[in-house]
Amino acid sequence: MRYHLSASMLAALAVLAGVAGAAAAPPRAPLPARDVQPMPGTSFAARAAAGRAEADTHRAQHPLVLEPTWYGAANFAAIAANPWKVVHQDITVDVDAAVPSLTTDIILTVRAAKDGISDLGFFIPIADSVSTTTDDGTALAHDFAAMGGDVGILTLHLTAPLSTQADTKLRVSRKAKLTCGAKGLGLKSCTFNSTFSSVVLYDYDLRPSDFAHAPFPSDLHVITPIGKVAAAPGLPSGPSTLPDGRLVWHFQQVEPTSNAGFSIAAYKPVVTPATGSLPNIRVFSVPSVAGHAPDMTKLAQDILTFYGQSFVPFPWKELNLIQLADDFGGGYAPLSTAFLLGEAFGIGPNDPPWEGMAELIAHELGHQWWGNLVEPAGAGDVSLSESLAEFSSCLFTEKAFENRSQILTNNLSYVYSVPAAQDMAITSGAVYSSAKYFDIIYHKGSAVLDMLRRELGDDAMNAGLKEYVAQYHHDFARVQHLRAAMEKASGRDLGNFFDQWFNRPGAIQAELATRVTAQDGAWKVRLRIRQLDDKPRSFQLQVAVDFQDGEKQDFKQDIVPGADGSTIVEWTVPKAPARVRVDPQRLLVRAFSLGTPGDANLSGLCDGADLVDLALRNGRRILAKHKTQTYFFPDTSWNELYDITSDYMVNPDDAVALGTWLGTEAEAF
Amino acid sequence: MPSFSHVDRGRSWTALVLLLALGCSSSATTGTKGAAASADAAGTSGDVAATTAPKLVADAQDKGPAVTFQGVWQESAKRMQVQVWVRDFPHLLGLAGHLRYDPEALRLESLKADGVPVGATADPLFEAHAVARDTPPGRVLAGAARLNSKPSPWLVPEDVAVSSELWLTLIFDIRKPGSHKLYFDPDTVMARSADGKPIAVQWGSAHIAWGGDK
Repeated sequence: MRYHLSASMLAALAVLAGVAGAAAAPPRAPLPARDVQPMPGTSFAARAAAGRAEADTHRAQHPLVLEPTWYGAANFAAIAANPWKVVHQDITVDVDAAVPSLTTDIILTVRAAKDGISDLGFFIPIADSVSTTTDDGTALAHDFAAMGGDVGILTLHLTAPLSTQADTKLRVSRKAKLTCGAKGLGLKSCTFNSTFSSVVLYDYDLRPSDFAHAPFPSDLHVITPIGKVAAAPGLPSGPSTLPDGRLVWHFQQVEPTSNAGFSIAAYKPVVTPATGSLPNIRVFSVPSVAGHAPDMTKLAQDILTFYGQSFVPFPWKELNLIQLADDFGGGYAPLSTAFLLGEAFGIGPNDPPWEGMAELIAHELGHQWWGNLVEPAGAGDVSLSESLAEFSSCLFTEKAFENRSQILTNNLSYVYSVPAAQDMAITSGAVYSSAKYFDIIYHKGSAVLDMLRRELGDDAMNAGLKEYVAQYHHDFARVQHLRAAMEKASGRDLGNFFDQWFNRPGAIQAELATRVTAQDGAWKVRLRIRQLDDKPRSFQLQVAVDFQDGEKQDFKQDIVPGADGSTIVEWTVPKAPARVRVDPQRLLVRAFSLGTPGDANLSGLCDGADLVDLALRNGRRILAKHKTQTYFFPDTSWNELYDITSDYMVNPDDAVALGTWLGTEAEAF
Repeated sequence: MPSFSHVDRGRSWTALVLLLALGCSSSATTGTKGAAASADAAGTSGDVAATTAPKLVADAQDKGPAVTFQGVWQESAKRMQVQVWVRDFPHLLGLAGHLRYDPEALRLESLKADGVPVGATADPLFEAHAVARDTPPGRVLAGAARLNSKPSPWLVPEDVAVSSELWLTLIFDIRKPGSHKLYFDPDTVMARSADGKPIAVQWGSAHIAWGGDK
């Protein structure tokens, strides 16, 4: 009989025989991510749906995100003045809910910064009719160039160049039917039902198309039927009455911005005057839920106070919280305002959805700093808006509810819902077009910022954010500006951190194994971390060594992988370890696998203690089936090391499988 | 179901690679059950009539949660059967430890692990699992725990009160005269309630005494 030994058999023999130079067993890859959605019926699914509703519109908006680097400067603070600017817009909107259609009349005030400006270009949504005149009513020539989608560029041809010495007023009127279901580049959403008539736009109609940074102060006038109230960003006044008896509600927006939107309903506004650094807060909700307005106000005050202490005080004088219909889906945060789906207004702190709604509201209010006070400059910088807003929300809920559920769920959602083939770097300019945009930017982005916070500490992190705001408030910024601010605050070079986590896709993928040896009355714990990425990452690792008596010892270790991706660290402990917990709080964006099969508690040996520890985790799962579909299940207690059978859950099958590995010890390292 | 098996000496991870590569198989001594342990052992410590026959002497223990030894000499097989019992736990999710003996003096002929804890009444929603393996000879890795058989993320682990349940059954061939100790390595023992907290347990020990003439 002839025996044929394969290469793998020979390798195994070599290891068994302890042949010098024998290769270690190949590393076992962690469970791969699956292309799954959140489990229906979970609060996380509702929260994710709200986030996706917001995120979807960002993707639609992508073509209009301008790159200030077109101008050859890092940001707008360094750019020469625009050739002309919008000094003010006075906007009157009138909706016909029956059609539905929107009529907009704008008195536009402009001034040139240099001589010879006689053509003015603006982005506007496509309209059924447009008329342009000078302030005295003289017709003004214009042309319109469709850009695709629902937006085009309207160019006004002036009869004489704009003055550099005095303001010039022009009038633009347009009327357009609204298609509420189709999200476009100009219209974010609209709703016309028996309760609400609302129109949410990315920008007011006349946003200069010749340059990116063109915010302006404005006055908005919203015409409503008798008995209805309008809500919009800005300081409200009115109503005044039109000759036909209808009402006009006025909103003065003193802050330069181009965000827009309004809603009409039988609102019963509840106003809470400004106090300390907090703004006037107005809750616009319908009478059936207006009793919860104080709850909403208190929550907003708590969030703004927390953010004010962590970053800089709330930057505006007003904050309007406006209820929209439930079909709005999520939230939208123009400057000094948050439009929110209806159900956010109908609950109180003792209702089960409160924590989830607080996450959403804290995210939207975070945008007052991230996205409004400092705007992302380009398509690769959206994390400066969405990741920072979501991170801020996580910070708030961690403090308010004394748990890390939100950041943990975000972390796990990214790790298990974004397959490598669909992954992109946070700073990828193409991330908007990714089907996993929400998971990458909101979930991974917030988890990455939380990792940075853990590395730097709260004080340095907050100091860095304050520095960032101080430099770029009312301006655009790029991710490298955030990095520079963090480096200045912390005194550390964060190039590697930002390169690993912002500029590269993926998470830490590592196999873990331990060896424990008794020596002179003490125990040595050796931990081997084998990263499977082509470019293994450096990171700060926390490890807890548990003892049988319930006590533990914590360690913090900088992991700097060798060329093969492996790192071996060693600690000495005074008692026999019962288990070793690596990254026990899941501070890292990572997925682990076991180098020693069955040794789920990393004691160095697969033994009965692994079974007991497994029993404590029985039922945990990260994917779950519902009907015929597999979904991401937001289980913040998930520990992948106990999933012996690699089916994304811990159950009695794992106990049986563990039994087959009993006695297995880590190979020598 | 619990089952006897010949002793599996266990293996290292690399050894297992070899076994699998060579097409061999190995089995672990595991068990599950959903009902309380049945009949008690036939004998108790010191219950050996023949003065020359080997006997097992268990160390005295106080009241409270304990893991205890019992032994009976099997005259026909000339083997010592040792049972390890789990007793008097007000609440127990699982327990584990490394049972040590001198493999030069005692040869383990068979090893059985019964699922514990079950509690006074078997609950069909729960399974009591157990694992045990003698590897290397002289060290029995043993563990047992109660698992919900249809686990859900909405359910939490549940422990159960244990009056007296059989955990391990070991049959030894006594190869040397003398007093041979059986004990759980104190660095390896653990018992947990459903909240994960350690339970103080008296981990018993015993001696197999034999004068040299079976």
